[in-house]
Amino acid sequence: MEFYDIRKVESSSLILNLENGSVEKPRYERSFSKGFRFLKNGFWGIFSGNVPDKEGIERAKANAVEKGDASVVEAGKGGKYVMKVKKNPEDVSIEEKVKLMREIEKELKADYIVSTKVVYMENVRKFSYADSFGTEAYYEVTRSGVIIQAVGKDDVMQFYSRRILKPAGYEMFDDSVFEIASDVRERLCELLKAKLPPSGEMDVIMDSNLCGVFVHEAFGHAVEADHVLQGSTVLAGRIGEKVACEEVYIYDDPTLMEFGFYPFDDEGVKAERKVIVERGVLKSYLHSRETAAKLKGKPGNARAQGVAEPIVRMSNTFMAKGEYSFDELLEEAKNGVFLAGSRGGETNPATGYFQFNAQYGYIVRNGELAEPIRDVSLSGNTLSILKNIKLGNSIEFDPGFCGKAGQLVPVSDGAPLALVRAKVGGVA
Amino acid sequence: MSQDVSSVEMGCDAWEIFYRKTEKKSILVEKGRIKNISSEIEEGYAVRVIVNHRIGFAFSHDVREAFEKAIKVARVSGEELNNFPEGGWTKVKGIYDARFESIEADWLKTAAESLIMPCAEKSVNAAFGSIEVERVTTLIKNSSGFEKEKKETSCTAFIEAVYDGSSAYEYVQSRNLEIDFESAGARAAELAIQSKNPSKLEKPCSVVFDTLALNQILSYTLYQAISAENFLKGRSPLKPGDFFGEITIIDDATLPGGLNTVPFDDEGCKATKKEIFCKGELKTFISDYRNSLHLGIEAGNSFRDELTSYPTITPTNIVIKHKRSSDVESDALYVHSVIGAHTANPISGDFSVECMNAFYNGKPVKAMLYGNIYNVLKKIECIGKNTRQVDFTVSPPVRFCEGAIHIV
Repeated sequence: MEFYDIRKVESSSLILNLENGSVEKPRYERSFSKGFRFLKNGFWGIFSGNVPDKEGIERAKANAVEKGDASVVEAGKGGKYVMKVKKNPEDVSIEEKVKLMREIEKELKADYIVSTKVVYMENVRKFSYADSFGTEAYYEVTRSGVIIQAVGKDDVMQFYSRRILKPAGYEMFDDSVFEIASDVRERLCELLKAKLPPSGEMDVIMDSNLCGVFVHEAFGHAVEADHVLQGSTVLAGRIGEKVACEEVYIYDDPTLMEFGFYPFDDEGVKAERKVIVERGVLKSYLHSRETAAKLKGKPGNARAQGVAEPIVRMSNTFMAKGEYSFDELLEEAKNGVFLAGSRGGETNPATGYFQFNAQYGYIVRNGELAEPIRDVSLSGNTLSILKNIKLGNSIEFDPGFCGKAGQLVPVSDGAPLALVRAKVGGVA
Repeated sequence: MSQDVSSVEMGCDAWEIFYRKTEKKSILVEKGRIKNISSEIEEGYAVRVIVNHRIGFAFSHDVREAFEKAIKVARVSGEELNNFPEGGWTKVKGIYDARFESIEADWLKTAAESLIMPCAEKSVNAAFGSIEVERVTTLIKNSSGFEKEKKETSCTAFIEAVYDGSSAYEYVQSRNLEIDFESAGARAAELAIQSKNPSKLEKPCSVVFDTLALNQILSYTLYQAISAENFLKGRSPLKPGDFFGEITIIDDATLPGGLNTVPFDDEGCKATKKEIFCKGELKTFISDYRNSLHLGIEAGNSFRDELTSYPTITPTNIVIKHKRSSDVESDALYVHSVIGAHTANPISGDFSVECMNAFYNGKPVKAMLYGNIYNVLKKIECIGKNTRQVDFTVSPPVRFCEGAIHIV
């Protein structure tokens, strides 16, 4: 089997940082790149560079020198999608964008806040795909957003940040951005009074944001089929098995208009929702066209930063809501901690061990929120945690950028509140 | 630099053109087999301009467009500068190996086989591995009269080994082709085997960070705090004169063969060797040109992560010095690498991480570690004998006193 494909990505971005009242490092970027893959004797040759298509294919073919066991499934018909935005960011003057940032910054003013940062970003990605099976796909997607961050100082220094990032135009900047900025201000005030957390294994209520990171980091990466084929995930060979309690349903859905949205993946496959876990049973992995061929799965989850090699990635990954209210979860926990927000996390899919850091938290004492805590982290083993998890009755999505193999792609994580048993650690 | 820029300089008071061409070749390994070979050529222009003392930045493949957009964004910029640096350069050794010019697929295959072989011999799954070689040519030209080219080569190999429910990874990086892939593969395999069935550590003890773990934690804490910009913006807890035990830390951009050695930084400022901490006392910060003018310190630490990135203050080769010992590991928790280092609080220096591969007197241990990097640096017992560079950090393993790092 011989196969080739050609990807072309045109990307334009504007990034503005308003730091302590001054626009720092304003940056405009426009790039155009081409990526070529050639599959011969089951082995991939890859080339990227701005050369004519014929030359690019030849250069990729020249790298396909070995023998391997790779093949690909067909991508389908392809198609075209152009996102319609209500207000194109490129039609708004740069001065107006700075004015918006200054208004957001005003919400961050307080005597305990020593440093503020508001980051504005917009990006348009124009993607075209063609392969030797005849698949052709094209899309244009606009993404916009702000990241709002402040540093507070009392006896300690603390920082807190929130972000709103969406597949949308300038119309997304409504009153909600000011509400988020004032939440940053108020939360930081609370954090400066916060105490150091207890450490050890205990009952932990994760808020939607932190639980979303858990779903993404601890579970999502473990169902990426390239990890399955590498033999580096604890979920390899476990399709059809119970991997969590019956209340757990997990999906990956690139069609949701959240930050991980895409109409076609980077192999020209039309995006669609995948059921990962249903009633606690592992139903499917996330697949590229190659892993789908090897494991008899469905493709549609291959993504790339620019024209780097497409690899299996998540999009909008979420755990469905359960039945508990926040008060009921507090009652269930009785004593432990409530942890909220995330400074990121990391997992080792091969062992299932993970580590996340919350942005803030509270002690839970006698079923009620008590004093605030700061600099608190959470670690544990994914599968043990999922065996016994109680879920809240509403879900929220949180956007971000996910890194894998040196490539960043936009994603979002969604989850309800969740009560689990895990290891909590703080600082000296 | 192939494009004519003579007419586009008109719309600004000062300008800088940063051109970079990267030629990369790599090979990927999956589950003990070579999976693909790829090559890449990337080039483009990043332009900075000064208009009415304000800096604007843009990237494009077309230098004219880059100028136009940079002038446009300069209108709103609060980043002030009168001129770009006149610059300078330092003669450095060991950053370009001409043999990289003739690397072909066969060389990559042989190197990948050396990386995988030790895993195969021990029935360990070489789950994922990569070897990447690159040649980078950078040309900087500015309106202050600086015009200079630098050429660099580098090779990076990575391998993740999985063995019966445990895993480990190892890196090896070099500016030249004298690189021992086999040892990296063997180390990853050995760590994966030894890490099987870890148990909890029941008593407090000293902690030893291997250079890899040390680099992970310092990158997200100390290296942020020694940035002149973070100091000036109130985002660093450090100030000159602060004391941190007996440690000496040098940022040495001139280190022969160093992974981050350069003749000049990405603004054209010459490479220097700076003592950041001298016997525990904070002496200076690392800086770019603009912030160096505010603080009256040396520049030379401004680098671009990617061609499209804005130049940012970055360490070069951070050399760590302290009292040495030939026996750093006994009766201590030895930590090869950690997970979650990037979740550290760069403002306070607090970190909390999970050990990936850790051992106490040779027995595998699972543990969560937490502490504050600035308290921890005051409590170094000694450092080992065998110096190694991992990314920024040039150091032997470092041993911290019992209680400096908390173990859960």
